[in-house]
Amino acid sequence: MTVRVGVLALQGDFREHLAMLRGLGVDAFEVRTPEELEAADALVIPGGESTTIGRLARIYGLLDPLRARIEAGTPVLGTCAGMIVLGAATTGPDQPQLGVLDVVVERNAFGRQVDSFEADLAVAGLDRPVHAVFIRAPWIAKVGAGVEVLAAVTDPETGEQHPVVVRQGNILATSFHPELTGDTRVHEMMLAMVEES
Amino acid sequence: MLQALGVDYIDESEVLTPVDVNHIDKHAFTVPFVCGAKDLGEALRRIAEGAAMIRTKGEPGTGNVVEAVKHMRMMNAEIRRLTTLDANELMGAAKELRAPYDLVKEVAATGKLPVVNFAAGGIATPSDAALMMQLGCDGVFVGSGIFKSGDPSVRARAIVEATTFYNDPEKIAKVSRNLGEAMVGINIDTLTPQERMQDRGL
Repeated sequence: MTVRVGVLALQGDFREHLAMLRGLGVDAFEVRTPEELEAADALVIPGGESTTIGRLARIYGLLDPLRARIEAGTPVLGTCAGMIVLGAATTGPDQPQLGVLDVVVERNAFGRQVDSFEADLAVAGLDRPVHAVFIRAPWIAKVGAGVEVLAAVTDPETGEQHPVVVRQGNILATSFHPELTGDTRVHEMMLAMVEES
Repeated sequence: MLQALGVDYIDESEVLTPVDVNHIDKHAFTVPFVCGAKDLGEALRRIAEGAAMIRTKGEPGTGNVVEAVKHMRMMNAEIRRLTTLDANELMGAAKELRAPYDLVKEVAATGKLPVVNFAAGGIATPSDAALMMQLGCDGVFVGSGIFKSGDPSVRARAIVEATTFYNDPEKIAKVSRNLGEAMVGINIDTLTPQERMQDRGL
């Protein structure tokens, strides 16, 4: 049976995720309402502006249904802003978050828009590095006990390691934008989670 | 200087009186630029200069969406036309559009602009925003349409909601209620050619 993946389409680059998923032969569709959420076997929370996505999700009554679905085991991939929305807290002011991924996220960790960059990144479980596009990207400042770190970067100032790809059960999150390169391996990791579940 | 300040984007805006008839060589900067365009040729010239995003020019500050619709329709029609041409006709099309040949070839092959395209200039109501999204824009910029209205925060929220649910007429109707006074629109015909901002730029 074709896997149905709902991409949260309140704001951000949901179109790029849809295109990549459809290229993988998946039935991918936009999710803007709790009813649309029902049909999904897996979810994607795209990149964008996390406060906007979180606030719109709350206003449109999606925050609680999303949380319930993810807590019930629906596989989810969050990229960039999506990682922040999945997280439990940020190092900055409070904002609406799902709190399903036990991490504290630092927003704009690499700096502002002009500090955006691309780099090859080794990710655990993938045979060769991913060409990762970091756009005003976050990193993870603190990981909870049940969170597996699949990739990290080194802070050039402190030498500390900061996770940029993590998995916690059915939740996969990346700081970068796997939907912007032709490389489908991160999305395939999420689809493999659907098989497992 | 703006790049040094760390701004996220720069709008190379025709609204501000242009200090230079030339457009900026945007490749020389790392900060992304958004530029206005009335048609495909203008959009492709700006992209060739390094624009990372395009928006319709519309007629800013008027609360009148007609010009933005016209510009978006024009761009869509020209893109559609390019996709129907055969390879031998593309150089002629590039000449007509006054646009770089390589970009014309790319648009002919993909059927879309190589960068995102926003609607701007005259959007003042939720249905204006939804209309622009239905025409295929990737997003909407609203300035005076919100700030010159009676209740900016309520109107801003309604325009955001209409942009998200642009294909849901019931929702658009619902969010359009009780928004307070809209910005008073200006008829484009009442503007003198000097007052029209969309004609600025190359």
